[in-house]
Amino acid sequence: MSQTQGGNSKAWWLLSPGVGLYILTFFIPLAMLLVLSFAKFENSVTTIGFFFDNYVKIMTDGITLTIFYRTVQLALMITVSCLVLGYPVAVLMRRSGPRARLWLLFFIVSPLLTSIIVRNVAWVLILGRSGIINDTLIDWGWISTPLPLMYNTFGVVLAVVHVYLSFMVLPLFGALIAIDSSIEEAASSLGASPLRVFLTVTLPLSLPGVTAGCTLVFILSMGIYLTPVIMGGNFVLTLPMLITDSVRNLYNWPVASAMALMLLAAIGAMVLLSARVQKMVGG
Amino acid sequence: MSTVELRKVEKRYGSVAAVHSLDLAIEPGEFVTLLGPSGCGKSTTLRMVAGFVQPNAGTIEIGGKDVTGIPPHRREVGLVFQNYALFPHMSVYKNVEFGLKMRGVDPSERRSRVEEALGLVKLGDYSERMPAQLSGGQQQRVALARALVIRPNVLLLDEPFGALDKQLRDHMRIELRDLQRKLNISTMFVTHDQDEALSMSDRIVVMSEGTVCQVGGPNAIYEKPNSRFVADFMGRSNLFEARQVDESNDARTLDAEGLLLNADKTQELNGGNAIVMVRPEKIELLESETNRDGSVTVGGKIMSSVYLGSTVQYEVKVEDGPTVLVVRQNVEDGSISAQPGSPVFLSIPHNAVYIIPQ
Amino acid sequence: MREGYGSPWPHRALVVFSLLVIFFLVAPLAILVIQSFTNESYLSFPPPSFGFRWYREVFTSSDWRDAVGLSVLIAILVTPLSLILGTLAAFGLDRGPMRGRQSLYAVMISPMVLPHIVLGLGIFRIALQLNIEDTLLAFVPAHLTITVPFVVISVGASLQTFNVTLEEAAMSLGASRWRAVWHITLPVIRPGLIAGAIFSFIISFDEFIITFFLATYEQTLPLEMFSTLMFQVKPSIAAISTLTLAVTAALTAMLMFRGQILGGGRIVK
Repeated sequence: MSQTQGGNSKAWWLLSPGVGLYILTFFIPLAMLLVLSFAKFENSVTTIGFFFDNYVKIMTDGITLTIFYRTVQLALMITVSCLVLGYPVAVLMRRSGPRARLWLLFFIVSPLLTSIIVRNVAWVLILGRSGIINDTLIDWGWISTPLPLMYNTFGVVLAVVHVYLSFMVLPLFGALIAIDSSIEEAASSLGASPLRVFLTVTLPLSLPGVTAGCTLVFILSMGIYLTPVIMGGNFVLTLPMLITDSVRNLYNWPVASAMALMLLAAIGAMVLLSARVQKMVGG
Repeated sequence: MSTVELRKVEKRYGSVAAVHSLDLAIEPGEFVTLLGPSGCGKSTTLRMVAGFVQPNAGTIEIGGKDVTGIPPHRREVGLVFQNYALFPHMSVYKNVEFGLKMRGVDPSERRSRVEEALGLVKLGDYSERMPAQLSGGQQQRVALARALVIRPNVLLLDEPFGALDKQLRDHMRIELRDLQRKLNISTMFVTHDQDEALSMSDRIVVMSEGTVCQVGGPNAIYEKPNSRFVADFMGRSNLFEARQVDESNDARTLDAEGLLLNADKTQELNGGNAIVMVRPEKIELLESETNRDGSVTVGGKIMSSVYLGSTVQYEVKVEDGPTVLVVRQNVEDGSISAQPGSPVFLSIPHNAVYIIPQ
Repeated sequence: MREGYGSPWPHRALVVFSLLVIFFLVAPLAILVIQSFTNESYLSFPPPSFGFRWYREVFTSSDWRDAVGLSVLIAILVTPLSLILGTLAAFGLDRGPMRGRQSLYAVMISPMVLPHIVLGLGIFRIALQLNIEDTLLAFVPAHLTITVPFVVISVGASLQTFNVTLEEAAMSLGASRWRAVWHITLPVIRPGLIAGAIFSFIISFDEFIITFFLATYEQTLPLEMFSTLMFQVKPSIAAISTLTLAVTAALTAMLMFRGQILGGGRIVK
């Protein structure tokens, strides 16, 4: 009945503890970063004001921008890898019976709740200089010096994909399961081969899921700190590492804040782009 | 003293009046039905009595006590919802016990009262079941027991049979009515189904667009509707615009869209025009012209016939007159070979012609 | 297996590929677990001899004990608080007017979309300002900021499927609004509450980057693992990782197989 849909605006008071927390730990901190990004940092002294020095610096110092591009590149590599590995799994999950699907879901979802650092430790033990792979290959006499499996982009991408694959598979699965299978049956009854059914029906209809998954993984990948530090050593630098370093070692809050806003801007741009694409693919 | 009394009760949502200046009293032991199409304000009225909706104006009394503004849990009403609203995580026993627990009734008395209530609805053996393990009819009975066990002043039923299939619904109607009589509990019943209203109620309140159209016993509501809306809503009827063409000592002759009818003169006619109602089951369908005392007989042609099992429904076009709906009990072998197109005669008794008061 | 997906070999290829992906997901963790039981002073696979040597080491080392203790303490403080804040908010959103509900919901889950590095930076800044960095006063609210959205989502989803007439039925039977919520609504939405609590615990227990900013002397388990890992890869790190894994895997399995994640039954049916 229509009586319940009105709702009571007094109920919104229940939000106040949460909103109060967010004001202290989310809105005010963000505002402070915004203000700081326009402050001046000279001789370890921060002057609040309206200066563009920090933004000019990160755009012109040659390093920040390069690392920013590298971060974007890295995020793209991670996103594409997740898509390539995740799509077939999502397709299989859709085709499976309930039992198999539950197990697949378990293996896909459980990483979401498994510590990133534990997963990175696992990869260190496998890919490290004296990790399982190098040890074994040297034992067998196939190689004499350890292969560089870690402390490079490859190692970082591998370890991050291991963590973020779930974020790709879930939206893909969501989009695939939403496709009415009678549409595919109709296509094949009209004479389309299984491959053509996939290319002309299934794939296009799953594009909203592809967009959502890619956006999510890309955004998450832009913010990675831990895995590049562990798996990349100092050979793979990302913008979050630069931000951390500016604050923890250089105490340069204004520049760190400007970089953080640069990161947010990039993520915002990605979200807008994704919304555009989503509209195009009919999500 | 009435069990429930609503005085000038009003409920507005924004500028829309869901219930408009409603007066209504339910006497002790009375079964009152609020009947109307969806959106007529009947559910809002029930929810105001239950306390979930606060009226913008007017007062509500339950058991002689003004409860306007008092929250639902202090109103002593027993409520049965359309979807039963059984607590899914509690056994049948716990469901029924809940209201007693909330009232702080002591455990030994709780036990005997729950058992008594479950006995009333014939579910004594089901007390440890969970709601999900019960059929629709059983769930309905648990909901009833749960509402009755608190010995409420008034039982409120909000379309309680809506989710049951037809056979079960007919059965539950009788069962509920028997139980209500046995306990002599004042009851407010909300439905949009006129069969339910007619078969169960002591009194029916027909509502439309937030106002009461007519209050009366089932018989009065069906036989003597006070408006075109009520006539239309309460089952099938032939409604004609009519004007008086002649008058004798005890009868008026009316021209109803070309059909000449005689009506008892006891019925008032304000001005020259009126709307008359003839219930289709009161018209006799004849194969040959037979004149009867106190009836008019007219000729016509069958336009369509619909076989409904226990009855057959015909549409008859009267010569130079309107199309008339006639319902005939299927008592013979169905041999009236009333094919569309075949000529028939209609016999309409005087007392079947009812002039709707303007 | 459903029919109508064409010839068997593409399907078989799909199965093989997916199994490889799952192997990729599971094998590293399995290897980690196996290696943690080595009796040697170094890591190798397969270990020449097995034993609990490194678990004993982990349990007796005060560094690890302190780190685990702090992480558990934070998670134990965060979980109920997160549940309370998130559940209150979810109720407010569910019972409030339709207008504005969408935007308020967006506000309540907004910390989820922000990279944790930026969130950590901001929280570090205000913690410095308030002089509470490196204390529970900073750790707990910081963790709450990222756990509350998960409670809002999981409890909110449960409330959406909850039939409000149950609450009305309780009230008509003499329960006040609060008692109706306590006796009826909360028990019925328990799956959502459990999911929210487990999410909160695991997320707080595993949180790294925000705590990394806030902590200087205090070390949570992820921080201790990180600094140990940066210093030297010893079998003790495999042992502690396995312990962490066991806890989170048990909680995850509890969530999954009781069907609380992703609407459980509905999707899996």
